[in-house]
Amino acid sequence: MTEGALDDLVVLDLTHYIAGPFCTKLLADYGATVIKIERPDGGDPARRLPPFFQDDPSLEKSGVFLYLNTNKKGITLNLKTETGRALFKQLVRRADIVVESFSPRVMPGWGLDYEALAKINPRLVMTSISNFGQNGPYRDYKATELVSLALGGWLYFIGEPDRYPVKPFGRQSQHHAGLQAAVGTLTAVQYQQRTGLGQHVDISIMEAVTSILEFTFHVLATQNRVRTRDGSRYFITHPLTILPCKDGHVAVTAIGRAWELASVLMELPQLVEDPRFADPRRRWEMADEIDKLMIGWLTQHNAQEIFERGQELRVPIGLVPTIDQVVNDPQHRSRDFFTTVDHPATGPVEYPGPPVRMYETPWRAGRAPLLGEHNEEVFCGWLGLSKEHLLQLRERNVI
Amino acid sequence: MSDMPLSGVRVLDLTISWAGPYCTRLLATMGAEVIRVDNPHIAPGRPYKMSTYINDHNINKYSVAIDLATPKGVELFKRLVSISDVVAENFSARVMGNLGLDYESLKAVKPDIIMLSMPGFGNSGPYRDYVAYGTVIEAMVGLSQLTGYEDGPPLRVGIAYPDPTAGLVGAFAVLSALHYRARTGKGQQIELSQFESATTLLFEAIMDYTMNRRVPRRQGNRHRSVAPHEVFPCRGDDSWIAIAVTNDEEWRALCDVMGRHDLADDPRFSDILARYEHQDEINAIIAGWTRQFDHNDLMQRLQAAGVPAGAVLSSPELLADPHLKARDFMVMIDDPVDGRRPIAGPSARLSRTPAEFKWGAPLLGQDQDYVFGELLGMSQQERERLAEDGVIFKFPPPELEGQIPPAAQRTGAT
Repeated sequence: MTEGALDDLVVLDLTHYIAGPFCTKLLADYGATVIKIERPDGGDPARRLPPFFQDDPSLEKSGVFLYLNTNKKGITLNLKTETGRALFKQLVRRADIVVESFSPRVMPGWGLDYEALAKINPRLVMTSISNFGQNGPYRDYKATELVSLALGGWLYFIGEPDRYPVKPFGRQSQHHAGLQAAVGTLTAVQYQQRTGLGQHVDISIMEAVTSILEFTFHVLATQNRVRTRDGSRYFITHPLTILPCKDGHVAVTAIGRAWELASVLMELPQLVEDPRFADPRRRWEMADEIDKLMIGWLTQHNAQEIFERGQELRVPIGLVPTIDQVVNDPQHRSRDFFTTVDHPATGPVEYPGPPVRMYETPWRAGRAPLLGEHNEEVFCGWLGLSKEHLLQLRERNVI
Repeated sequence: MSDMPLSGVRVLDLTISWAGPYCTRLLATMGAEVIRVDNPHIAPGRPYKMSTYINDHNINKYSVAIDLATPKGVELFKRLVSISDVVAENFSARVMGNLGLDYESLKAVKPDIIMLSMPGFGNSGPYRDYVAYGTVIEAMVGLSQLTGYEDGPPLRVGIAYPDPTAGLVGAFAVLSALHYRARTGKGQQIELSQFESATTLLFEAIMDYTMNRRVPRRQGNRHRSVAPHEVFPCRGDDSWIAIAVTNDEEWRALCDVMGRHDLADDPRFSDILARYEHQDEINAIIAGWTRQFDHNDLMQRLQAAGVPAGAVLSSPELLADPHLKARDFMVMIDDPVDGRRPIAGPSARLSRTPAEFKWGAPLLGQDQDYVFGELLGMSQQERERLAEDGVIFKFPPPELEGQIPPAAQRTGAT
């Protein structure tokens, strides 16, 4: 049995929805013991998010929940009760990490803020993920994915120049914040392991977005240019874009040496011969003319052919597939990237596999917990409560 | 030794562009000593890349230049490996092996070395030797096909989003490997296919396909199940606000702010399902109303009433934003080319050991005295011989003597 890199770590997971669970999923998938703590009535609200397995809206069949909560143990605990909070504090004694994603007032309101928990366990690393961080004028603002993207500054420059801003598919700001939280947490754990001292890690989804805007602040400071919508173009160089082809679209990157190679691929000597295109720094201004020439050739050829011939010539070309094509992509298949996970509510289903391959301590496949599945293991096994006590707590809606 | 989470960790950084340098920059801001090892023949003495946007990813780092295409360069690099903890590279799959610097070779020099490789598509499979940019990967994982207007083509998402994704996943893996090594003494090889790490970003769409064989389509800003959920025009040129109403309470609050109690009572909009069906009508009404207002003022009014709303901020607005200012988010650095300017600060705030922003990107080869002289204890003669052989070079090169701009001095950032 291979080891996980994080095997010795115990994480109490109070997170829900997307950002927090993605952080703790990473910790769990690479070995940590993650105890997911859910409210007794209905659990993590992500259990209500579609898509559902065969469109059956059961609490155990949300594809979002199932993917984000792999390898975690599941217990129920009602933190609105004093008994619930006391049980939580008992668990804190045995934990290395707590991760939570409530609005910033909630944990302090329960007497479970970092200072209080650090008194119980000075080694504790506590990671708090919120929309806007633990302080500041927007701290108590309500946000959804769309709002976070707007205030983070990313939404403004996605879309066509003459149309409204449009968001990336999915829940990217939350996914990204979850990743930032995982890195911040393990960084704090490095310090904890060396010094025995914990700390509070504050993740703001808005700031997670603002920290990856690429050259946006640079062009503002050095050229006084406000980065704005440019369709699929790259705003500082060209061609780096998506263009139509005969049976769909392709992603074309023809900067640097690839410019000459693209002119060979697309049988367009004009690209290298026309003096208007000679200066790479000016090609962005000539984008319309360049695109017209490339589209003329691309629309005569299918995406797959362009992709294969282009890559053979070392031109960075990409397909623009639909999701079924991604799941069946030959590169993914040859590397067994998609992993079958069996779950009592769904049977075997394919999930995306490891985002990174660690050769000594590999990623592990696993499933999400049923609601309250590990109550007995944790409350009786870890905390020594009797089964009768557990039943009483259940009756009183503490678990 | 400064008291930071990664104090005492030394990283040799061979990465280029965004993904790799972002990963190592995360380590450098948390106390690791990150030494860039670059090709001396690019541009001796000049900033690593004349594009200062790339320099942003290389703050806090040291720089040496070694010609790894020479046997003496490989030998010198291995001497550095013998005193380092992590080697990070994002070359295409065959390069390190061809140089004689694959994991097994490095392990022979330092048994507990941690090696992070970030090949675009992975080091196996039919696409192994394909060229990947973040923008190519973005398309290949299906993100572009699903982003855009309902009546428009697939769209890129502005930034090369797979890059910071891979950078963060790489940092996560390195930190995990360091944790494991502290416990067991063992290093390891880490392989991060950017194609694979970016594919996880599409998990909702993937699960719908693997569970239900359903393929989604572009839907602009529309949500799967709630409405209104859209971006609306505000007063001024290209000014917008995002509004997302997720329940009946928020709908009534929005109607209240709009002064439209008739809408709150209108049976066409009475519950989530009804609002979803009639969202075109609702959106038109809201857009007619939002046009009158400044988007920041409107956001404050709506948030005060409990409606999720966010001004769609442009870059100058981010610099002026009161929340980012209150949290001191932007950090000033000294860039060796463009001088003092603001960059985005850390996205993880650690209370006891906050991230450090010590200096701007190094000039190419700037730290040879420290790295070769002090860390490796090489004599002046040995270094001069290597310079004559073209394996390293003398910093500053004669043509730049006396011309190093002041920002190249190691100033602290604020």
